[in-house]
Amino acid sequence: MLFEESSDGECVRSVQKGETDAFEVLVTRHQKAIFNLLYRLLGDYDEATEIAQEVFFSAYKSIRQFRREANFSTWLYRIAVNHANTRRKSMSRFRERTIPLEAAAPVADRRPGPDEAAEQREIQQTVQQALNSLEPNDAMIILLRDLQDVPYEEVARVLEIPIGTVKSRLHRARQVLKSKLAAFFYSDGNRP
Amino acid sequence: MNCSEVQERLSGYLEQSIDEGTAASVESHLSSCAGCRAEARHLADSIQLVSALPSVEPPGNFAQSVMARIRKAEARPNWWEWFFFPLTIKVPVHATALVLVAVLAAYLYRSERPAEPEPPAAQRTLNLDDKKQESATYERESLTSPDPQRKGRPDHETTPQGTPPPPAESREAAPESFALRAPAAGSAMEESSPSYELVIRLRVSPEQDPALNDKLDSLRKRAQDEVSARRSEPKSLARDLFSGARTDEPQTIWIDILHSEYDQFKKDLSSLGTIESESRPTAGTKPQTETADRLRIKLTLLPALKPEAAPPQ
Repeated sequence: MLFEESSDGECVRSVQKGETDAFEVLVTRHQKAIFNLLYRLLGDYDEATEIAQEVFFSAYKSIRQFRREANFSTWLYRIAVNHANTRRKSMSRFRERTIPLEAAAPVADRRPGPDEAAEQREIQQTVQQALNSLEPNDAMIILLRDLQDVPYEEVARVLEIPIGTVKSRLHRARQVLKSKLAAFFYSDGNRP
Repeated sequence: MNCSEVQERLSGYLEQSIDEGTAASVESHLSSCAGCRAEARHLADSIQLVSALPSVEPPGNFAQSVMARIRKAEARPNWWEWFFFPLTIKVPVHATALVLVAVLAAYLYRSERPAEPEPPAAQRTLNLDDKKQESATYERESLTSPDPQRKGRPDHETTPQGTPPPPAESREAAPESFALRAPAAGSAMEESSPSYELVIRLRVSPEQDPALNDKLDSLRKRAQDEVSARRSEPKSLARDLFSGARTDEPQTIWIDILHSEYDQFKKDLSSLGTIESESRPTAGTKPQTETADRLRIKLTLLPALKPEAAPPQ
């Protein structure tokens, strides 16, 4: 049976019936989003790969507990958030890490020039360092909303908090990030 | 709206997620407040910088790696299957192991249980003069308590003099006053047996015949002295054994005499009363207590009969 054209719900039903192959479709469909979230949260490519595999493995083991009326991506994000928080706590001196952006393979819309590419890398590294320095919950909510463009309602379900709390926390997290970035970008009057 | 109120709503304003009236108020304030305009610009830049972070591709074989791990985990039996299957092999093995464990547990339990106490040793009269008895322990029974292990008939009902008495075991418990508990099992005292057993029926009560009383005292004293000389017990114990004996109850005295004294000893006893029985309990075998020159005599003194209860001749 071909599962590529099946919805997330249909694939989940198939997996729950014992059709393991259907889960591969779910992995392929959501791997990038989950991986990027973890990559930006943990700041390390190998760490993100390992934790992302753990996230999908955990999802498979507990697939029978998934209620089909919920959103599979929301459920998957929640697993990823839990794994990432656990992992980040065990990583010593995490906030001082500098992400080796050279190891990543970004998907670029256009190929910049050498100077521009270097400047972009420097900006991205600065932003990543600022994210690393945030509280885990602040970084998580910013990445879900501003990086992954997850709707407020889904963010609320992922973090299991009310929408109003999501908005207020997001605003506060953005203010903190702004302050950190302003020191780098606006000290000499330059704009990013 | 003041600056604080406006800055609280900047995120919603930038995302266009607030109502039109609030948005208009914020925009009106921004048009006249440079500080809030700068804050709004910086906030917008921050959001843009995060959203502009490049998307990173996971490893090319990520999905395959995940599925390989899943299929490997599914191939591994869970603990239930690992423990019980295949049934034809696992169940008998586990049952056998269970039986062995139970047997071992029972064995260990039994081996560690304290040994049950020895049943009370049969009450016997003891040879107080035996050297081997010095290390034995014994208790003195109450002078008034009957011997609960007395077997057979009372001594005064034994056969007349000259007739072999019943086996020693049935007569050992007769003298109640001086009956002592046997010492610890296995000791020499427990196995000691007299060379001769004599049962004397006193002619009269010692209170009625001072001479008889003197002879009895002499006999007791002799036994007592032998006890004191040969044993480590304090004399007070020996005295306790013989003092206060009621003359209306049988008494047993153990005496060691020389072989050559035996006949004279019997003659002396005859002055006390009638020798109702004389026996050699270990006839045919030499008792442990008998040496080359000495005999151990177990002398049982029966109280004098009242005139109306005279035994038949």
